[in-house]
Amino acid sequence: MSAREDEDYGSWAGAYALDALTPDERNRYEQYLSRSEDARAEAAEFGDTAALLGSATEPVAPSPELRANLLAAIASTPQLPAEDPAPSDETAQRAREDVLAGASTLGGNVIQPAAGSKAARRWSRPVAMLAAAAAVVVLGVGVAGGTGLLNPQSEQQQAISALEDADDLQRVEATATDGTPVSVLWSEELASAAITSDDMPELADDLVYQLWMIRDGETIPAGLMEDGETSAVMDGELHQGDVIGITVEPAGGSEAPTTAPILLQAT
Amino acid sequence: MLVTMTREPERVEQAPASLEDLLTAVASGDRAAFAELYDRTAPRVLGLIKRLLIDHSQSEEVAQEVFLEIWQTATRYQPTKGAAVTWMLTMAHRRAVDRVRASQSSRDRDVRIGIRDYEPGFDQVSEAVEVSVEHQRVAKALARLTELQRQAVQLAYYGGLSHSEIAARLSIPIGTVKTRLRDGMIRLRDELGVVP
Repeated sequence: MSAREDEDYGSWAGAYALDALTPDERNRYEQYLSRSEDARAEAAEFGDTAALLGSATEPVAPSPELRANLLAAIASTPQLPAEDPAPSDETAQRAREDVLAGASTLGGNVIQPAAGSKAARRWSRPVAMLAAAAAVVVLGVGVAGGTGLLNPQSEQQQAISALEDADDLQRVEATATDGTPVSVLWSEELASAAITSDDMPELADDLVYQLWMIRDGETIPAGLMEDGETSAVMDGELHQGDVIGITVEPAGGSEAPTTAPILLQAT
Repeated sequence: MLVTMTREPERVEQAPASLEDLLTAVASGDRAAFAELYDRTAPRVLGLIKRLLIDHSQSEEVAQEVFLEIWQTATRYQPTKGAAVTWMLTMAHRRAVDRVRASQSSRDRDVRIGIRDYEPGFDQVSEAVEVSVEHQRVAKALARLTELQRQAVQLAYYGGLSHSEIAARLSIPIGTVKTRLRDGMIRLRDELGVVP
């Protein structure tokens, strides 16, 4: 990252605090924050300032149902573990926290499996376990190289067709953090998984979508989804209970996630 | 849309627990603390969300997500890093913005924002109801911005517009929007006396 680009990022501070950046820009700005102490200080001040704008809106009385629903929901909703190993840098910490927060939404209503699916039956698995599994950002077991990631479309299509034909196909219509609909398909019989989406937002040239399998506390690189592609078959074998994740990474991919996931899906 | 309600109750006999204390208690699984935290902050959280989403039932949905997230992630809140209400409102704003961008077609949003433009301004609204201290402070600080800065900050924060949407709407370059937002935030920070 050049000093010139960092200089440009300096002007993003207001937009960042006001949530006026796109999710991709937000991630890039947070990477910049990890490199600049001054920028972090400014972000903290602007964050406090933005919250004051928030506290100045007219209060609105919630319905009694909202309170009742919430109190009922928390009675059966596990909390995230408090453990917090020393981060190597702020970005990594943020990424991990966001992974945790993201994994926690698996217990909420944000990413819902189709009713009656096997995934739905597994829903009862404690969120804390998922969170713990997703929490530990371990250096990758083997780097997902360029080969196999740029499968010709036909191979991708064949693999997806095979998945779609699988007797035990699971298909979940999930939503990425920016609202983009993403289908997650997997089959335990084939030990294979794929994602498809017609609407993935276009990324800057130096960025790429990267897929992950999160298993036993490890984040395993599972291939890239280049700009313009509408589907990606995950590299490697899917194991029972894996969590599938997508992050935005520098071109070529990373050994471990460096940004918050835009999607997490339990299988 | 404005509702008379009890804000944080003033207790004379006994100092109420701070929101930070409540959040810390919530982190240890204290459901009564969560209920109190909810009672004391829900109108503010919902007020912020509804300012962006307008629709009441959608706003309640997002508020429910926010409070569930607060319950789940209270273990991650660090009192040394900032006030509880800041932590909660930051989460609420982020989620409200995500919902605005996910659920509205651009046409719907233009209509919605168009309607908002005809609502009375910040100052007029505030006179109609019991005005909070924060509200007065913020209204005063906003009044110290240039018209162009205030417009950009309000479109971003209360309208949920991205900087490119603001640029398109005002027919100005994105770079100009970023500069206005940053300059506006610098002045607001100074006017509001936010210190690191």
